[in-house]
Amino acid sequence: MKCNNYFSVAGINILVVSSKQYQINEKSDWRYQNFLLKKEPKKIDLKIDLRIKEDYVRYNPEILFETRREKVNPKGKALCRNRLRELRMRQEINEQRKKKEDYLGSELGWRISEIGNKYLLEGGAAGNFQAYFDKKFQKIKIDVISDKNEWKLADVFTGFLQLFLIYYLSYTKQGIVVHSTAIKDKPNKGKGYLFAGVSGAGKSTTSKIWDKNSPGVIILNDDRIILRKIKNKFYIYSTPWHGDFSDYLKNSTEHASLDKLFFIYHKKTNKAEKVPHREFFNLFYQSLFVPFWDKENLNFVSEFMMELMEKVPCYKFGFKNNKKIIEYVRNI
Amino acid sequence: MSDKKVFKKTDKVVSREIENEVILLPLCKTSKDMNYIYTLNETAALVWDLIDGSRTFKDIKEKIMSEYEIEDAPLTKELNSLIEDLKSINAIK
Repeated sequence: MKCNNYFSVAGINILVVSSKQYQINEKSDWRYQNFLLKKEPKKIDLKIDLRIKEDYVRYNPEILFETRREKVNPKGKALCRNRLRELRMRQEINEQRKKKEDYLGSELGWRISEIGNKYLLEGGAAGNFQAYFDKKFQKIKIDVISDKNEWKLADVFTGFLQLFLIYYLSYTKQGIVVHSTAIKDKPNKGKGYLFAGVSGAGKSTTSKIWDKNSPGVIILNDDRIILRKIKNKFYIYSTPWHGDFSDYLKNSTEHASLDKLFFIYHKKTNKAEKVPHREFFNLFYQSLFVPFWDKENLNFVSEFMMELMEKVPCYKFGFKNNKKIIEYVRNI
Repeated sequence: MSDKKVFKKTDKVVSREIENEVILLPLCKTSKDMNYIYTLNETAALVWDLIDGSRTFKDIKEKIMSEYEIEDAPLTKELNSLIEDLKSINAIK
């Protein structure tokens, strides 16, 4: 028996074909519910075959790119987060984790490799999966590694899809993934604002301010935004991958045109200034998730950035944590 | 650096020209190297442009001296430093 599961992220319709239905996980699935389609869409952009396997196929591939867990900051937030993660992981020590660490080690976040004429995407801390795809995205397979012979939405969304779309979007010249928060200002003609920044710059803070103080405004996401170019216009799309703030995700699968782009940082007073073109790359590139290992894709990313800086007004925006930023942003 | 040395751009970097400067985006293999970009100012951008796999160190130096008022010794020092930087990010070989 085959189960067809339909998802849609950033206007990309995805069919996941599996041998059994996914297991409901009430604690985490709510964030994906809005991205599930109840019926078959007219057009499928990606078809993914999902299998459940007990163990990893062990390769010694040519690694194109890999991420490793950062070292623990001895003070502050990072330590707290890390401790929580370590505690959770200790509770989850099982055969499955041993299998993964035996093959991929304990430090790996994820990696992409080339085997023959295919790519192999493997999750370390990012998830229990091995995925294979060809360069034309016609045959995409994901093996979810599970002792319990089951799969969950998180197996596809959290690990695999988030990483796969980085590659898919740029390879097909459709867009990029940006470390940012974004707002659809519905009361103000539905204008779209993107606030990019590194961790700690104020992305979740910005989302909370708009969410609390501006009825009708839609938060697209507070951490990951998909930025697409369609017919020479730029659009920002909601994703399921949130940051510290997530209340908005219950009703957000929307998108908006991109009308203003801000590079945010905390400041004592609100102040925005136009970004000179020669500074734009320095500011924006550090907020991107793109295929850093692939020249053709980086070429696309650089062209995409050039066009973006020509067409969309970009500002450096030092902001104070209060609701005055809403009118400030609208009036720029 | 030998005056006869010839340098060539590698395929490990993507370059873009913006307002007389050149931005270099190096390809990388691990997360610790990602998101780094390098900006070459107007003079360094000219050197980048002149590195073509056939011009020698001396050719490049002479071309720069014909366009800017600069003495041989300080230029050689600056050029050596720039070449080393570009080699260290695998932009040239």
